Amino acid sequence: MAITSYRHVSPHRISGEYSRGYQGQPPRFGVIYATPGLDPATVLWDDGRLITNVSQTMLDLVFAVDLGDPDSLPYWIGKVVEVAINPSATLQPSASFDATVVSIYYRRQNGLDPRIGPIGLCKLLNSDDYIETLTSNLTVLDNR
Amino acid sequence: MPVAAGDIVAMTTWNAGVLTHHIQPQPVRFGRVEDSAGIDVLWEDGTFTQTIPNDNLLDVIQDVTVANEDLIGKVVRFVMTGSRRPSPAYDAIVVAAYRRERGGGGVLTDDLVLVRLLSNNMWYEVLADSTTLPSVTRLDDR
Repeated sequence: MAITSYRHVSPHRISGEYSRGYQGQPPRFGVIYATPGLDPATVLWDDGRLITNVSQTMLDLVFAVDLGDPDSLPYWIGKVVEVAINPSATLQPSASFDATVVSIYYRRQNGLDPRIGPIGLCKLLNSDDYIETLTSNLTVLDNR
Repeated sequence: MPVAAGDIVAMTTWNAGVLTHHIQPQPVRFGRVEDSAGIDVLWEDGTFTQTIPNDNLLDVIQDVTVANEDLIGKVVRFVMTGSRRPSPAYDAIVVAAYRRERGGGGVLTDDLVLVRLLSNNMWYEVLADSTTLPSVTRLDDR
């Protein structure tokens, strides 16, 4: 699944793992203009900037989870989740990490394997911060 | 009809023929096409982007039906059932109502509403009415 024209991309994650990474900024998404195989690429970002000469290795192809999957976007959207990103089972997540789910998607660096995800993009309830983490780290909180 | 001068546009949320407006942690940025030959766009924050290489990178924002326009300013809740039942934390206020047309190419979608969650100021673009994907319903007395 190569990066081709009109596909959505996001800057490749430069630090951290998707199982734990914490982000102050929400990810920036854009749409790509490229002839298949053409590298570097031109990207129109969602804030309106048009950036040329972007190496495709610096980009992740972002694509939605199959809407027919019962574990897909419609299940997660509208939910409050607990974000369990601590590697140790003895370290329970803080309630301050409860979040709402913004989106569910996969990432592929440069459009190549491995496919990372499904990734849940969450916004914390108590602060203006975002986190991207695997949906396996998310637990839906009932009655929230 | 391709993008024309004077059109209101936003970065396309079409991806491989599918509307994926949930890839949207940032609020939608709208702009107006100044020159359709170029394509040059003046965005609402004052950024002027010149020579966008293809109008498929943009969606033209169209007017909505009166029914959806009535949702503007209303508090709404996401509509889903069963395991998709929404959280009250997703109650939101409707900021705008419109539809998107990819590149002005005649591909119309269902009508959309732009909402902002009351719980954490998150922006969201959802269908005004749908049976399969997240949509919204008005909450009375809110």
